[in-house]
Amino acid sequence: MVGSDPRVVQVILPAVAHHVFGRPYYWPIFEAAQRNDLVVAFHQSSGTRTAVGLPPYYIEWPRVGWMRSRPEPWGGGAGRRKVALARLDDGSFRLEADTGWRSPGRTAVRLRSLTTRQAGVAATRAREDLQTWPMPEVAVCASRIPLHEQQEDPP
Amino acid sequence: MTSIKDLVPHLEEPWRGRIEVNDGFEGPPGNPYSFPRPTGVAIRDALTDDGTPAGSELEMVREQVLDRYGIERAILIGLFHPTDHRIQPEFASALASAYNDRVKENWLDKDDRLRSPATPPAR
Repeated sequence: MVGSDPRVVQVILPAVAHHVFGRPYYWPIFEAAQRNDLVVAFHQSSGTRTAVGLPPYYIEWPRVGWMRSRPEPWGGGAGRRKVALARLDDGSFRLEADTGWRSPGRTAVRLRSLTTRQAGVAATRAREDLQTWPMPEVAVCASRIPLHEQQEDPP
Repeated sequence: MTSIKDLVPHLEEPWRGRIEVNDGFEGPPGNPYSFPRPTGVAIRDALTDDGTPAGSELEMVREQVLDRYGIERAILIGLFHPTDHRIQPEFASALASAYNDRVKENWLDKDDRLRSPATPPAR
């Protein structure tokens, strides 16, 4: 039970989990983050991959993870709560602002990110920051994962 | 963390025995770091003499980062993702709890500049 420790400043989740993070199954995590005034951060992990396997280009790696993990949009209104989300990329830290979700029993999560509203800035940063060459280590990384764990879960 | 066995002191049974005894559980899945570079998975200066994972020694982090650059606050981002483990949810929860306790005891309690995420199992 470390969430109330003042030295614990965020909750970290993998960019890709078993389900999308908007599902009620994960709401207790968001509730705990809000209760302890913690940012919810997402980071790529060995579970971050596309429908056809590990992302073959650097630029895809954080994008794939974020697009697959982001909570579902929600229109706002009474009962809205605030939770701060952050995405941790290699060498950068972006706080996703104006994010809320409703308590259990209501529809899921609303998220409007700074990077979406400031699309021009984001595009410039993407050109400056992101690398687009292939990832030669993908095969190495994949080979480190036991074969039985490389198979997708049954639906 | 240098090995999954580092979590043994922080685990209760029945999960402690899964780690302590060699029963075939090999610990976390493969990817040593999620954003590998053409030069490897860690910068050369971060490699340790005894072969333990880069970033696993507090003294080296102090010398190479915290002290050298006058860092007042640093947030630790670990490579241990219990969500990636395809194990019983209760086992993943126990590992996550043990990991959080270990980070607190071995890093946060030893340097006031350090901060940490809480790492839950989201599976």
